[in-house]
Amino acid sequence: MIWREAITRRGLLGKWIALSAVLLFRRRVEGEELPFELASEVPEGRTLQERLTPILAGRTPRHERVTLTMPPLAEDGGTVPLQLDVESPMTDLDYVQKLYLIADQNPDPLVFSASLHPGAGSARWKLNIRLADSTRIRAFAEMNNGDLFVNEVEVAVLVGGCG
Amino acid sequence: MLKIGRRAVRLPRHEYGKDDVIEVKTRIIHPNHNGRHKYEDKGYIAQHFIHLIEVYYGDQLIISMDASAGISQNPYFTFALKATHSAPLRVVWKDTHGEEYTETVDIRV
Amino acid sequence: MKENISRRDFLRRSKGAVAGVAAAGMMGGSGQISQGAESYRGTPSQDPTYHGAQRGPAMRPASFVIHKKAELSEPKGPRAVVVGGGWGGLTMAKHLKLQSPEMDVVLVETHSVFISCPISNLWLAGLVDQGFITHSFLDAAANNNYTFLNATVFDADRDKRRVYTDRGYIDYDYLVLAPGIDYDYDAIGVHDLEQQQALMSRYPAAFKPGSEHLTLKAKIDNFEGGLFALTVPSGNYRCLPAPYERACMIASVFKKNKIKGKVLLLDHNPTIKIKREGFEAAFHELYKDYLEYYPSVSIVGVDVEKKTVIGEFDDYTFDDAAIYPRIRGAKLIESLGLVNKYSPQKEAWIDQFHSNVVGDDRVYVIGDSRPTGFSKSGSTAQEEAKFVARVIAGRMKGQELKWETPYTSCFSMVNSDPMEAIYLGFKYLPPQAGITPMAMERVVAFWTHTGAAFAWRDRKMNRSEEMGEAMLEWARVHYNEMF
Ligand SMILES: Cc1cc2nc3c(=O)[nH]c(=O)nc-3n(C[C@H](O)[C@H](O)[C@H](O)COP(=O)(O)OP(=O)(O)OC[C@H]3O[C@@H](n4cnc5c(N)ncnc54)[C@H](O)[C@@H]3O)c2cc1C
Repeated sequence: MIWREAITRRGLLGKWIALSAVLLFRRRVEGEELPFELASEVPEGRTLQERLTPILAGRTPRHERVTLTMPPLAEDGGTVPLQLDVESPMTDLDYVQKLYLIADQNPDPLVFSASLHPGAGSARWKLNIRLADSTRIRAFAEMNNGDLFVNEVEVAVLVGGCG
Repeated sequence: MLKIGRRAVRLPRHEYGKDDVIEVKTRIIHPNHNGRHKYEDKGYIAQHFIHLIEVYYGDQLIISMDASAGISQNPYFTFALKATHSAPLRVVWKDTHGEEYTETVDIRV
Repeated sequence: MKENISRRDFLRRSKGAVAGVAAAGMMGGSGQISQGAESYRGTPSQDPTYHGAQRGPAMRPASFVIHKKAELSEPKGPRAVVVGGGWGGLTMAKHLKLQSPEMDVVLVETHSVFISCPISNLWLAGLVDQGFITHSFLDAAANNNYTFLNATVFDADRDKRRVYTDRGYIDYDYLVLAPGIDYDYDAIGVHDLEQQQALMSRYPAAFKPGSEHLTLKAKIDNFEGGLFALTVPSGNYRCLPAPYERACMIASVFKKNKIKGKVLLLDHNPTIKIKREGFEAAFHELYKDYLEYYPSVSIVGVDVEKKTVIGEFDDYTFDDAAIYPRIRGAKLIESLGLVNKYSPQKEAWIDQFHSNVVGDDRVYVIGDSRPTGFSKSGSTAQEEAKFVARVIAGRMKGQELKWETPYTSCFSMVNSDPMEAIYLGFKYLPPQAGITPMAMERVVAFWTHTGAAFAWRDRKMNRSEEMGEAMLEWARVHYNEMF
């Protein structure tokens, strides 16, 4: 049996079962319609610098007004909850114009960029994001007057638990 | 089973008045494939994800989010909204295959 | 953390001890203990609740067990006390004795009968009888030369190396804690104790061994039709595939008995968490009309009276249910002050290489109360127990063992007619592999004391009768490791 083979490192029988199961599986997927398309390569990644430069546009963001709340330990990198709050009156004269979220270690660090209208009346969001690895996450808020604010947190991703 | 595109926009269960800041919850069932998962030895599951979420309050576009595949499967997005006037609230999701999904709820103050 | 415990004053805390015993549901036991004055071996003057002749022994509160030695014969060698007679503890007791025959091993367990969680889903569908999953602790102790004490542990003093049970205290040289899990109903929005109790007794999760399973079995046998809700929690919950396996097994009963019923599987996760292809195929090909799967259902409450699961987006009304809430390390770990404060599931603070409590090489935690990313499964607990038994035997001889990965072998039955199963086996990366340096101390502290990821795996997602047979064989061999 396969589990025994792995435990005891013996057992031709185990190998035989493993082989026949694989053959069966191949036959079944052949010609079957898949619910998704296949690609031969993974999409190209982006560098952190590539994503940060246009956001910063030469500015140094201040560590104020933005609060990013995430669990220090993500139990499942596939869905990591986050909450983003920006202190702002959200009036026509003073509002959050842009929000950016960067996960340094993701293949594409830019998780989203968003535009806001003062009509939202508030800038408090919750989302679930993917993290490929333990990483620093940065949330940037750009005000309508061009001021740039940031908040950063570190999240450890406990890989595992996924078949 | 839930089909791709099944969506929900939920307003608070409790009463709210004019100018109250309320939490609007949205979610759409979507695989949000990021193109990085192998499918046996046949290749990679191609990218297929929600790349744009827009929220209209009345005719005004109040939120427009350009998303990457870094958003989790079944994209979940909750935002606070100041209920200034009675108007429909429309959420639009667009995916990389050109599909567009819309859901509208009424804000009544 | 050590100070916390070592400075405990048990005399002053005797009230707490009574509460502990009561909380563990042992009030019935307290009457028993206070009956015979002969069995009381403590000095009356040490007992603050002892008021001389005005009160007869029958009036003595349960707190007196903290002064009484448990009735065990004097140890002939170093004594190891194993707490919890589940998959981890039973394997531990047997293998401690195999590794160090001179050791005097005592297994302390609350229940008097062993009922296995693994294979219980097969029993729910009538594929094996109850005898297959029910075993005697006495046989385990007799066959493997250790002592079984049917008692509940409620405290420990690590300075004195003493563990307190409702049948008296035991002094140990080595203490192994394998108390399993407890439920966290708060995490699914059920905060009120009355509501928690109602939910726990009317729609039990059946993820802890015992009565919960009997209740669930009766529910399935008596189900007349409608929706039968099962839930899948968030986090590293006990046995990742078990809720999906259970959904298949219950659906197979409805299918076989032509019951107009459906399993409503409400999953917190955005997709089937493990063995997805295998379960998905079973859901579609075998149970299309008997099972509905809803992903991304984050539960914010359960209305027991209205039989409704309240999701963040939708409500789901059911006719019957088994509600599996989020889990946490067993409450015993918390009451002993051993919780890793960074653990989102309140699991133990241990050295991940050798499983001892940080800073204390006499106390070990194994099984589902550990904080690492190991799969919370019986097979993992067994492999881990065998390794830690060797660690302890080694340390008795002054040797230190290198960390070894457990091998998790995991079958799931997906079809009952014929019996067909799927399989996933995996090993883990050594602790600390793949760590990104963290700026924040708290994250580092957590990560370096937990962390484990898959290093290798073997997948058989195409269900087959061979795997079905292998699953039963797996069970026999693993029961044999315990009894
Ligand atoms: C439905 C179901 C199906 C499963 N299927 C599989 C499977 O196919 N394969 C697999 O490998 N795993 C499976 N598992 C998982 C497996 O059952 C657990 O991971 C395993 O039991 C963990 O072992 P443990 O020793 O940590 O805890 P347990 O086995 O739960 O043992 C803990 C013991 O400690 C006792 N205890 C707790 N507190 C005290 C105290 N204060 N004093 C005295 N005693 C105490 C409890 O009574 C209990 O007996 C399944 C689980 C379930 C629920």
